[in-house]
Amino acid sequence: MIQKKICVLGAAGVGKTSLTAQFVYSKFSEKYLSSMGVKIDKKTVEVDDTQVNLMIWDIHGEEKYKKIPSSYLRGASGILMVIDGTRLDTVAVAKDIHQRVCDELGEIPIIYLLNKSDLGDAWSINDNLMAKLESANRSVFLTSAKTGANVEASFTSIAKAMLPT
Amino acid sequence: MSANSTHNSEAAMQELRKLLFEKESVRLDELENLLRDQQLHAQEVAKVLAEAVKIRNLQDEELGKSLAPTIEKSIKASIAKDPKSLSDALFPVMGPAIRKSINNSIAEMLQSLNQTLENSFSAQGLKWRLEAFRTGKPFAEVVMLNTLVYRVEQVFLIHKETGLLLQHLSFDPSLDEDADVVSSMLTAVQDFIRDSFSGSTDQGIENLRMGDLEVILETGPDVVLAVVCRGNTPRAFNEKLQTTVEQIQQLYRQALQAFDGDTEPFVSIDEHLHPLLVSDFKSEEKGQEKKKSPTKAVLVVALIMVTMLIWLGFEEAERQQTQTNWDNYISRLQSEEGIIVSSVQQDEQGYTLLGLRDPLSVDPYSLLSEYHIAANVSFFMQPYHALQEPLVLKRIKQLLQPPKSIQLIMKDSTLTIIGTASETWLSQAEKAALYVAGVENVDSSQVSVLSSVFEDLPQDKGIKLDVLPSKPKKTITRNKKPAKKVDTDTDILKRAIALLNPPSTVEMKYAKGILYASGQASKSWIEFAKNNFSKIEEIDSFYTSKLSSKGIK
Repeated sequence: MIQKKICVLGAAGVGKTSLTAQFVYSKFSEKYLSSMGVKIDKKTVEVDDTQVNLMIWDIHGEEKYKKIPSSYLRGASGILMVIDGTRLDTVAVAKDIHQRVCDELGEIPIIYLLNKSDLGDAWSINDNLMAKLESANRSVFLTSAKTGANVEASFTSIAKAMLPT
Repeated sequence: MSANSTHNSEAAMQELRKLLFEKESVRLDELENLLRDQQLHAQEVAKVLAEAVKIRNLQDEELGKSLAPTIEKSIKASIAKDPKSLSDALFPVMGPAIRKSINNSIAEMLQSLNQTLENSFSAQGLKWRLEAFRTGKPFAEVVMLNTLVYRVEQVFLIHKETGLLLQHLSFDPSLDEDADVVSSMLTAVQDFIRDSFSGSTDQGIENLRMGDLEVILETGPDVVLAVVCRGNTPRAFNEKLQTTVEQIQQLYRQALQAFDGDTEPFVSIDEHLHPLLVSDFKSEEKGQEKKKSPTKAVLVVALIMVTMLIWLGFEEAERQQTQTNWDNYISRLQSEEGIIVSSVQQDEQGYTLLGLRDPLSVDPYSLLSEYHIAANVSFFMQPYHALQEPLVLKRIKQLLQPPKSIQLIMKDSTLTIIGTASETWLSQAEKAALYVAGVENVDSSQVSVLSSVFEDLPQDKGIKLDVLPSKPKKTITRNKKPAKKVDTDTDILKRAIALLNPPSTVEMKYAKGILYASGQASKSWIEFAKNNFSKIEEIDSFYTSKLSSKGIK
């Protein structure tokens, strides 16, 4: 059995917890997230006949006075970076976090999730920005925690990215 | 010829060889020298030795194995040569190790001593012994059932950096499912506590406690061993955890550092973790209970003792009272005239009194109740005549039956008779009294003599008439009219019976002025008869010594 630690990161309110909840088996309640700043769930996915046990660290949203603790990031093999597709400011936050992750963990697989794709009216990511994100050689998924669109695909994708090729 | 040609061809070959291989031949010689020259050989080997050792160590562990005997011999030789150098080298390691080991041994010893003392002498221990006796179970089993206190319920071996679970053991297989999430969360909790309160990343959390549930965390450079226990674990157990982490760290160092999520290399780690999944038994009772139990026991013992003392006190007081009563009774008997107690014997049946008793003295039986003596008392009293004056007087009165007009005084062995009496009675009395032991003189000078109606006294028992004179001295006229022999003796007896109405057990006779009564009658009747016989004129005296009141109420 292969086990991997992944972290779900992003600005506050982008839908990290909702995305995770869509996908996982949950043992702990959400109150851990508000008290300890982290909640850990697990999900087993199958990649090329290999069972991968994802330990998903759903970490509280990054805010000005509430940084993500380095200790929570330590040992992570992959990152799911969540952006709220209706709020442009969350893109900048994602960039900051991305930089920090690279500083602390080195080059590890990072996948971008543009969440709330069901809210078409309020969608503010234009094609230009989308192209920029994709051109930075990252996988980008348009997801919706509400409809479940692309959620499973994105988790499977990160699992695949973490396994040695 | 042929020999010559052979020689020629040999030389030619030699020449050819020389021409063709001279350079190689020189090299071969050089190589030969190189192999034979030990010095040169060693120099060559020295160049590659360190590298060779490194490479071989990477390949397998054979080098270490093959070197082990040599190293052992070298160490032995070194110690034999000069022990100081090696002990100097080991000193920084040995000192702390020895200290630690001694501390642990002492702590363990104290703990087990405490346990033994508590189990052996406490009220709890006695209770368990009683329970063992009652149920027929071995004492050890009873102690076990009562003292199961700590049990290791789960063991997590966690990769320190990632928080991923390497191995998990538990008593309850249902816990296995969530073990990996718990493992990660446990790591997060440690990080959280460390980040929130300590700030230093060097310090690890050693212990989390909630009620009787405890998570002991033993941290190595690459792994965290988390053990979930219920109850109080002994010191020795923490020592065991430390050793386990050290072993795992040592054996799996490379695999741990290269860990990429694949737990396959750690399957064999089981054998190190299994010994941790243990149960142990109560080493400490709750302090308060321990203190209470002896107090209870002391109270119970004290209560029993006080009760016994009170009971013994009552017994003793009662015994003393009984003894005092008995002593008083004996001294009363001793002081009583006519009774001499010569010895008192006591046995299981009661008391036996030996001595002498004048029949006229107080009945010792009747005194028993006066002194509240319930014991069984037997009397062996020989009859005798006491010479104390009151008893002598009693005896005289019984013998002489003096009329009411006569008063008798006994003093200094002299019987003084005062009053008025018939001459017959007086002369008889004067004689008879002298026969009573204790009477030496009879003084009858104060007696006024009345003329007697009767010349003779009855020839009967009681008074020995044969020694008495039968002739009256003088005849005095009475105040009343002279008695005439109007009635016969039988008539008088009939009148007396009619008057006194004796019970059927009494037989009465009358002869010559004396009424005789014999047999058994109540005291009150006897008293009544004595007071009333004189109402019949003809009866001068009433003879009652044959009357007995014994056995009649």
